[in-house]
Order: sequence, then structure tokens, then C-alpha cells
Amino acid sequence: MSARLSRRTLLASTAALPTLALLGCEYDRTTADPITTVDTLDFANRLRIPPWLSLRSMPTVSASSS
Amino acid sequence: MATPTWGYTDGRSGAGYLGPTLRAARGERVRVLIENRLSEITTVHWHGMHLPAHSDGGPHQPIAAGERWQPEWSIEQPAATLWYHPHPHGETEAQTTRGLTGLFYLDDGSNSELPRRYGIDDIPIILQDRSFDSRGRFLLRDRAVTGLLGDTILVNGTYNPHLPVTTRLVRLRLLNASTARIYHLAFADEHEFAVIATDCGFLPAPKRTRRLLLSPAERAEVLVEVRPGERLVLRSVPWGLDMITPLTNGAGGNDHLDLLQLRTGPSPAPSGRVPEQLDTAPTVTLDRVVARRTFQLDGREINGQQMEMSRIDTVVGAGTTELWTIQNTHNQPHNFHIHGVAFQIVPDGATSADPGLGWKDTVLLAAGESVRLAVAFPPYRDPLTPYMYHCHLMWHEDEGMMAQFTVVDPDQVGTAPRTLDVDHDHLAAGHDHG
Repeated sequence: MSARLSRRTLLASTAALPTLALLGCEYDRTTADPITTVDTLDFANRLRIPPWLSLRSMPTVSASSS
Repeated sequence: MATPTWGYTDGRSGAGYLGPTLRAARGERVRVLIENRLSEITTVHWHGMHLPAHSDGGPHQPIAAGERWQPEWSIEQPAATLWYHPHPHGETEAQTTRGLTGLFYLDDGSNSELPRRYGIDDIPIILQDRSFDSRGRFLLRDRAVTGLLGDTILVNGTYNPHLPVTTRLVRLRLLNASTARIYHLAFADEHEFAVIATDCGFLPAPKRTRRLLLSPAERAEVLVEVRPGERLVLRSVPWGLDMITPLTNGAGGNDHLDLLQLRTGPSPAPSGRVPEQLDTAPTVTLDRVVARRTFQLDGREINGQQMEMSRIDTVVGAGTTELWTIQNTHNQPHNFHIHGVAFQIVPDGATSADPGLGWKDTVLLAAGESVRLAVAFPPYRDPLTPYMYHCHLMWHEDEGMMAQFTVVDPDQVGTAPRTLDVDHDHLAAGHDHG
């Protein structure tokens, strides 16, 4: 399916298939088209490596916002 | 434009997004002091860890804003790549999306010939997708059938990333830390790689492949052999899972996403070869099974019920092995995670697990699919503190696709409590998603 789909058209098209249950289907994406990032990136940023921490010395780890 | 984020820090390392990679070895006693400097309740769940239920960090171990929690346990399981993330009931997706995620490596000295220099030839890879609003904030509302699907990939919190590769063999420890997106990993040039470990430990032998499906919370370790000057792009390519096209599209199953470029220098250093065999834990046989249970996933329910904190859904015997059949009767994919255990997958008709599928704690089920799991339960008895089992698509989990089990003395399975006294107000995170 290549056409852009709104939530309304998606529900309409799936509702046309009587064997399907749509329990919990709350589709809110603005488009149902597949997305692609292939060949759009130049990979300019060096991958960040998280620091590592041994648990041999009992650390204090805080959850915080920034 | 800046994005407000959440993260874990030990005060010296760790920025405002994600958290440090924690490391411990088999046999060690572990104690962590967690401080909650957020403005709402959180928890810290040690995903994949075998530990007493009171240290598990599930919804029953809330840490109120400004309070501390100090879990303690012994590492008594094989080497594996685990992780940690929040688990307050109803708020797991939002808190994880904001950045609360970290890796947890367990070491045991086995398979020491593998690349193991952290950040050099042993690389943590945390895969996430995010969308942003016009002010740069994480989008926390617009969902697909599986939950939040971002249009921007972050690897270890890095957008548009490359990894300088300095050795001929590199080990990638892959974690799908997305809340909903299923990745079907491949290199752009169909480069072959070897899977050496799944969620809870090593495979008996490397499995060479060109594709790897990884649903949220699943991990895999892979070895990639590179040539001087080579540039490899790791991608996510479409997965089908036998759903109709609108549902597949809506679940991200037809997306093509570039994730990470591996840039090999002109003279990569020799660093071993892919081994023929690996040390791993023994395979489970069904003659050890003491009970068989069936769990049906549909909508946002397990066996027709939504999560209730005061209800014990399942009671199992400490140290026993059970055969759990998980049936996805929904028209959408789900996955299934069990806290505090490792399991192996038993093919239909087989009398033992398939060791080639590895030791797992999370398994993906396509629409209509069933899977049999040989589940090895921990020795820790606690009739009043439950572990969780749930769909690890975090929106589904938050919506109630979760249930609880306790581990008790095998003689007390029939008499153990089925209800708990729960202070719901104490457990509610509640916040503004704006």
C-alpha cells in the first residue's frame, strides 16, 4: 500500500476485513506509510560509549532529569 | 534547541541521558544505592537478573521522589548482557522514553577468547527510536499499534552515529531499548555476522546469519569480521510477521532505517577469530518439568485479565522448572518477558529445548503465534512479593498487559496467598506527559 493513510482511512480499511478484531488499536501516527532513513545520513557523529561502573564498591546511582 | 531528558548518574559519570554500564561478576555480592531525584515515583528494574523479588525493582518496589532504595543480591547466573530501566506501573513507557535506560554486564570468566575490551572491541549498542515535537521535546503521545514509534534513531543516545573500528573482529552487544519498535537487523551489503549470545547468555556455538530480529528488551551479542578500510552500515529492514499491510506498516514493519556505520581504519589490529564452540549452560529437558501452564495474549490482556497489583496470578515452586505455553491470539505482535528467570524455547513436538535459540528472558510472538518455554524458576522464596510477566511493548505493559507470580516453597504452591494488601496511592507515579 503506497498511498498515505490517515487514521480514519486505516481504520476503514481494516474494518472492511470482518475476521479482524481491533481491540486496543489506537492508531495515532500521522501517517501509516513506512518510513526510511536509508541514504539520508552521513554518520557524522562519533558513537558515544556510556562509561562503565564496577559494582564492587557500592555505588550511588541517581535517577535525575536535565 | 535542547531536549529535556532523564538519566542515571553515579555523580562522576553518566550524563543526562541513559546511564552508566554497570558490571559485576558471578559470585559477587551486589549492593546499589538508588536515589530518586526526579519529581515522581520511579523504580529500577534489573532486567534479566536472577535475584530475590524484593530487589527486582518491579512495580512493588517504588522509590518516591527524593527517597532512596538499596537492593542487594548475589550474582548467581552465567555471563550475559542485561539492562536496567524503570518499571512503575502505568509509567514505564514514558520514563524509559525520557532516557532512563542502562546496560548491566555480567562476567564469569568463560569464553575469554572473545573480544572484551570495553569500548574498543566490545561495544555496547543501545538502540532507540524517538520522535520530537517542534520544541525539541520527546513526543510521548502519538502511538502506533505497538506503541511509540519514533522517526529518529538514537544509538547510545547518539544521532547519526559512526563507530571507529580498530580491530579485525568486533563484538557488538545489542539491546533493543525502544519501547515498541521491532528491529530486523542487517548490514546494508548483506555482510555476514555471528550471533554468540542472546538475552541471558552464550549460545553453544556461534550462529552465522545475515538477519537478526530483535523485539523490545531483547539482547544479542554478535561478532563482526571487518576488512581494512571497510565501511559497514547496520540497518533495520522490513519484517513481515504475517500481518496485513496496514497493521505491519502501523507497527513499523516496513520501515527501512539506517542505524550505525562501522568505519574500519586502514590497519585494524588482529583480535582473534570467531570460535567454533562456546561455553554455555546445560539444555533443559522436559522430564524436569513439574507443571504446565498456558497464557493467552490478546488485546491488552493476559488470560482475559488486566494487571491488578493486589492479585497473585500464578504461584510456582522455588527451584522448579515449568513448561509455559504462550499463545498470541491477537492480530498484532506482542512479546513476553518473565522477571527473575531464564527460559529456553521448546519446539513443538520436541522433548527438550533447542539450545541454538539460547537462554532468554523475552520472546517475540507474531500475530497468531504460540511458543513453548521451559522456565527455570529461582530459589528465592517470597509468598508476598511478586515478580512480573508481561508484554514488553511498554505501552501494552502500561495498559495492563501484565500479571504477577510468586515463588514459594514447592510444598506451599497450593496454599500460598493469592491476594496482597497494596497501597495504590503509594505506587502511583502520575505525571504530566507534556
